[in-house]
Amino acid sequence: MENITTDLVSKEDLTNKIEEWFKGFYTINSTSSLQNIKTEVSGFINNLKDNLMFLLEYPYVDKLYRDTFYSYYSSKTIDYSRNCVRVSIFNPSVNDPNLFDTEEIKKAYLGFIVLRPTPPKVIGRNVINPLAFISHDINICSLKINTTANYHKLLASGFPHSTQDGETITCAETTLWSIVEYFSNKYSNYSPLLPSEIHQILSHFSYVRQIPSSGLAAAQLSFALKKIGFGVKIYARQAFTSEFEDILRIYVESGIPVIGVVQNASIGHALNIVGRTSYSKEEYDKIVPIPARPDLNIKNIAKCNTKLVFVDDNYPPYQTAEITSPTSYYSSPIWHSCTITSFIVPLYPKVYMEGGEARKIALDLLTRLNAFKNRTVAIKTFLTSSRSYKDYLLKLTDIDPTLKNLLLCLSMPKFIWVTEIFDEDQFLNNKCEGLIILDATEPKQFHIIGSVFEDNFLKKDTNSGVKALKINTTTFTSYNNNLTYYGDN
Amino acid sequence: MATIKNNFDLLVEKLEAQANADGSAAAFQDINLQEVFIEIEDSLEQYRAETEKKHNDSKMELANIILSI
Repeated sequence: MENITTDLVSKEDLTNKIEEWFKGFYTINSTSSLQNIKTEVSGFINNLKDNLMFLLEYPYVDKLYRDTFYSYYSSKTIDYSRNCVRVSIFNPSVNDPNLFDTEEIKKAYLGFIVLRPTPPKVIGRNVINPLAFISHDINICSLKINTTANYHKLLASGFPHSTQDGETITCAETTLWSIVEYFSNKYSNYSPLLPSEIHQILSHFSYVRQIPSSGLAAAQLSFALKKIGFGVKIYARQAFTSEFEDILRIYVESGIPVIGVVQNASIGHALNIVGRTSYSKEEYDKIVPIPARPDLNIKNIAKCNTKLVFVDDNYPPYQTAEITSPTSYYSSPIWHSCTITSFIVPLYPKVYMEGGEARKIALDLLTRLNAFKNRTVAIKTFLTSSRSYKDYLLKLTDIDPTLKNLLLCLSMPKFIWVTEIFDEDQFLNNKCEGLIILDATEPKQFHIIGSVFEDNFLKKDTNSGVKALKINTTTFTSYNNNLTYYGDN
Repeated sequence: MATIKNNFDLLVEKLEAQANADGSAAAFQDINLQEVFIEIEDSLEQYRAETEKKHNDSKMELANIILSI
């Protein structure tokens, strides 16, 4: 058993140090192999801030690599080490003297990258805080994952990512692993999924050998997600046409990472869509208001062309691109004609109402209830848990206290669809003035758990009937807890 | 046995009593809510039937895409 070796280096010295460690620990001496590793690593860290510090640790037992090691690499003639190198990332305040100062380390920690001994594809499992990147003005689904660095117990914040090794895992497996890793670390309902388990689940759905991997059919991703307990929904652009992008944005706004399928004539690729850039005035002003009644125009926020945030196994995490050109960040031009042709949504199994329906009900109510006369309003639809939503309501300080009480004592299912209604000029100030809360567990009818249309409160369900009341309302801060904002504002 | 009223019903009673005392107009008084709900449910039923077909078409499309790069 090898004892632990550590070294703290700057970004400038990182690739040379990795070359030295790969030579020393993995006895890789081929100049071209070492050069390929350096190219791979420097491409990955290129967009990280220049002043960061990196702590290297060897040996590191990585669950993801060990799974592929025991199921595949150990059966090859060439020797592969079972150990990895872990690189922890810190703000520049970390130096050799304070490496044992737990508070300092906790404050400065920005995540980790595991390096596998599988050259040239050495970038393994990583969770990196977007704040480590030069550009980080993004809103994403993120989790806090338990980890350690220099013996300190720490939390890495971000979205799980790995590059493919090209032998046991391709884009399909890494995308599936990454999204399940996110859900399993965040919610106790789901278990993590390792590559050998993915292949095991799909063995009943495969007619050829699975390793070395030559990719998966998109339908297999959906099958695997369903098998492990998700209520999966699939949306193809060709079938959903004009609704396709709106529905995708509704799920992004709901903080649900979705698997995107991108294609052109020669490419079929899977990636995770995990968030969006912030709403800008420029993009918001471009939304064309749709007349719902002669005296009411509606700006649908799902039409706002914010960029999407991708976790793509061919690139470092958190790439941003337009919804219409999702692979524009690829250096190779053959990727630039790819479009998102389908997406797969791993929903909580008891969310029976889907995004398109929730938006439709909200639009129909707004149109038919005669509220917001002679106005242009903006609407934002999203799914959230009632637990998070009530926590938000409880902490709201700028809502009318009676309305707050009314909303708090409503009985809600685990998940609810919410449509917030804003005055056209108040959306960018995050101040809404109306609400529609729908029961996400109702697939056949529609239950309005509670709604606010100007100074009217409305509730409707099959058990207790309809309740309409006059209330006092003011504008109040909108709900923004589905995605974590990493920008500077 | 006395009926135990939940917090929502207690609050609604209070608000309705206050509205009566103030002589405030009823909520949505110019709208037949039942008619509105029936219209929405009819339109929703049609939307769901269309969406179901779109989901079936999506399933067929997904079966033929290989993700390997």
